[in-house]
Amino acid sequence: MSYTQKSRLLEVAITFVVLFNYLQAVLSMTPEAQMDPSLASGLLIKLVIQTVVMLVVMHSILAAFNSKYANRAKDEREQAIALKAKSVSLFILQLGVVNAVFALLVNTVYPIPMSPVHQLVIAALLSEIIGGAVEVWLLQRG
Amino acid sequence: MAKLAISNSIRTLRFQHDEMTQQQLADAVGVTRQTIAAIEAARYSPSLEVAFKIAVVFNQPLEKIFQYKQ
Repeated sequence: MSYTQKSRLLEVAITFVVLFNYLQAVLSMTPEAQMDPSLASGLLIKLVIQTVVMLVVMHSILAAFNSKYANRAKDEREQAIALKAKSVSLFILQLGVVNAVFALLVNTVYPIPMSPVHQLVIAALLSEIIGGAVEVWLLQRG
Repeated sequence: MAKLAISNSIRTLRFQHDEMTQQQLADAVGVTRQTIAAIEAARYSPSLEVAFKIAVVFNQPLEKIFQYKQ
């Protein structure tokens, strides 16, 4: 497994943990609390801090064990694969944005019982996870 | 994954060059070992730059290393 693969796999795992924690926090809220902007922004700040800290710590550990490859840039094949994965990721994000905008327009939370802001954040995290998984799979396939 | 129309003789050339490993070739060319493995298995077509670098490592003309099958 190449360093890029390990690194992306780690990012996917961290994003998955962050998404799980976020979903747990949002689903435990009442519908009124979900619409509260101060609670939503507090949750977002927590999400950002949690992600940054976990990424820095895990990347430092990974780089310490793979010092030879840690500072090397992606090669042309890895860049091409990253581009493919990014297009998948952006498609998922687009779906999430359209869904959130639709929920805002019709002023209802159908089909997911969650405020549009949270739907948007979850779509962003999901797009990152799916994009990362596609990249790891393409790197593994060769 | 379907093989590409471009085949190559990198594997043979590596063995003719003191059984050079994929990692040694990758380091000489400046790509990952996985990329060399993908090129060898005809699952990935390298850029012209990488193809020329491989040709320089083996000191062979490009057409001796890469062949196009129609």
